[in-house]
Amino acid sequence: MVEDQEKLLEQYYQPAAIAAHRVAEQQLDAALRSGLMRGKKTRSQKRKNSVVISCAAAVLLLIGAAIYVPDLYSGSRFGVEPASTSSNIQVPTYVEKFAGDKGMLREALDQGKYQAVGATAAYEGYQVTVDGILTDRRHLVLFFTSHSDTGETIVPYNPGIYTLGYDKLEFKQFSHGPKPISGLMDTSGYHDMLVFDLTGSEKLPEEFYFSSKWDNGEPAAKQKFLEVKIPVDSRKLAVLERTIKVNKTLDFEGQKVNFTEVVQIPLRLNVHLVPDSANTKEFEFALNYHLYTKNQSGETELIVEEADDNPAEWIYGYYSPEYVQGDALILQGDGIQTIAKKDMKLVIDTNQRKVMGESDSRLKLQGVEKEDFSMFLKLAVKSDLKSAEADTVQHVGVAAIFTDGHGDKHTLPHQDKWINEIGSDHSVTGMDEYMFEIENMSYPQPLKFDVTQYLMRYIKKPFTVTIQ
Amino acid sequence: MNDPELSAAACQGDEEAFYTLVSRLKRKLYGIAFSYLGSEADALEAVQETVCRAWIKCSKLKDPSAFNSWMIRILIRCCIDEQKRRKRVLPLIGEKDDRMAEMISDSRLDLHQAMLRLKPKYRHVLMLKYYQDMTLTDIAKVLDKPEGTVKTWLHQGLKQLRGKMDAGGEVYHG
Repeated sequence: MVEDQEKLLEQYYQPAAIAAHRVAEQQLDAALRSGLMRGKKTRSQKRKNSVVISCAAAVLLLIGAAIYVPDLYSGSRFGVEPASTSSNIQVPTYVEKFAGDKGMLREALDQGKYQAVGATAAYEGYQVTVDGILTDRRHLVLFFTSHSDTGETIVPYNPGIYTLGYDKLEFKQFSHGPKPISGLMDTSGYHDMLVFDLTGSEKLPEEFYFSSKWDNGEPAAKQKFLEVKIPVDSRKLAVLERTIKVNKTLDFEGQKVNFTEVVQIPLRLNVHLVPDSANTKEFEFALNYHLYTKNQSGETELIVEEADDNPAEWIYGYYSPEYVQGDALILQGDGIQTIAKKDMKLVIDTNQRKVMGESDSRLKLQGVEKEDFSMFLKLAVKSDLKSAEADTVQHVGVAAIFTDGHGDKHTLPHQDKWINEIGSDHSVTGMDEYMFEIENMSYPQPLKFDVTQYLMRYIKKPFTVTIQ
Repeated sequence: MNDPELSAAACQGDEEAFYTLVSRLKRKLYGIAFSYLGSEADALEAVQETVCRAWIKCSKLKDPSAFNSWMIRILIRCCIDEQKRRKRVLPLIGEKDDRMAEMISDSRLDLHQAMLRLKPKYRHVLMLKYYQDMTLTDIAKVLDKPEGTVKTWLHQGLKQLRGKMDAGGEVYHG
């Protein structure tokens, strides 16, 4: 009876054990992190309260003393300068430097939209000061100075912004160049800026927390958590987003893409492309798209640094800190890539050394090489690419599990997600080569693979769109 | 740093040491919370609350080597608080419990009802024993009670459980 009851009890707790096994690591980490943040906040509030009480006591003592000895309250006795307030803090030199001579950030600074913050957090030899911000509530440019007692440069790792209720604000962070360390160093510490683009319907509230782990940027570095509370001055909101409407349809052999707009946000120009819903092929990728700015000083090619691969709308972010409203924009491209087929199969008879009929017709089996425990299958596919595009790599991918002629399942030894292109220059043979490995054994034929990564088709039609 | 060193550092306010320790315990804490509250969201909330309370009170922990037991004790308290809150907010009948989906046999349903009717102290001991597989010594540390008391509670818990599975009775929530 007792044994049965004990067994039943163990079973009773099984769902909890399963739940503990299933719960995502990130969810647990988020719970720990939020708990710690709330704990820190409460602790610091308690400290503040005790400081306030101490200060209040001190003030009462001072008032009492001043009444008793009136001269004690004169400034000359203490020799204390009035503390500077945030309103009279100047724009730091490094901020001026980061803003450059022209562009969106420069305009914001010149219009007096820099919001001085001057809030510092320090912990165990790490110190971070948020010197100021530029914001329109949808974008946030945060300027900081960091310092460590050891003299090493410390940078934020996985920074976040939170409401005062510790709800995380959803955003995408933009990093330009070889981050993490690309700011300026001087005697006061390391200066840099962070750019956050809030996503969805998120907006910066009146006050928010900027919090992050900080480290020296090295792998396995010791990280310390620092958090700063930042107020937003709604009288000093900057213009940090401008839309330039385009609405130009690009036609690639009947597959249409609408170049809808260019949106200027901090440091970038985002090119928006919307595939037509009537397209018969799925638009996968824009081929060699280049954006140029043109003004009196000439033409400048911009570098694409971001690509949002939402199939309903492609957004390419071009790094353009110096773009000034009114400069002409030129978008040039070679065409589009489209997905060939969604349910593509690869069926191979390794004995006859050929690709069977139900496969994608472009795939050819070039060879089967056996080596100890491995059997290497070499595929070739007719390339749409030319020698000029030798750097373009296409991937073909197959699922980790394949079936043999009897329907028995086998697993790829390395469970590769895709088969990498090998040694192809797109020109000599007109074929691209791929190779992958299965276990070297006698299989009932043919072998059926599910293709998970598809070859694309290229529709080439160079175009130029100029926006004045 | 080894565990005692980490615990000592955490109690002196070393945030990283504290995080390392709670991070090692996180699945255990979650499982225990789930066993009390029966839903993922509530269990995560309880873990969060536990970490918050623990960080606030960490400097007051006299014996750093008891860090893990102390954390579990705080968690159990959080879960009880949550159950009390639920009792105030929700009628028992409307209580959502993800475990019910997993409870398929009558005997398990009986057990679930009987567990709800059991005094909390007995439930704690049964959970720590039959879910966490803890020794009576460790359970005594978690509940901060003498080992003999825990042993009695375990026997009483099992006995009452048997009785309640047969009979029904008053429902305890925290």
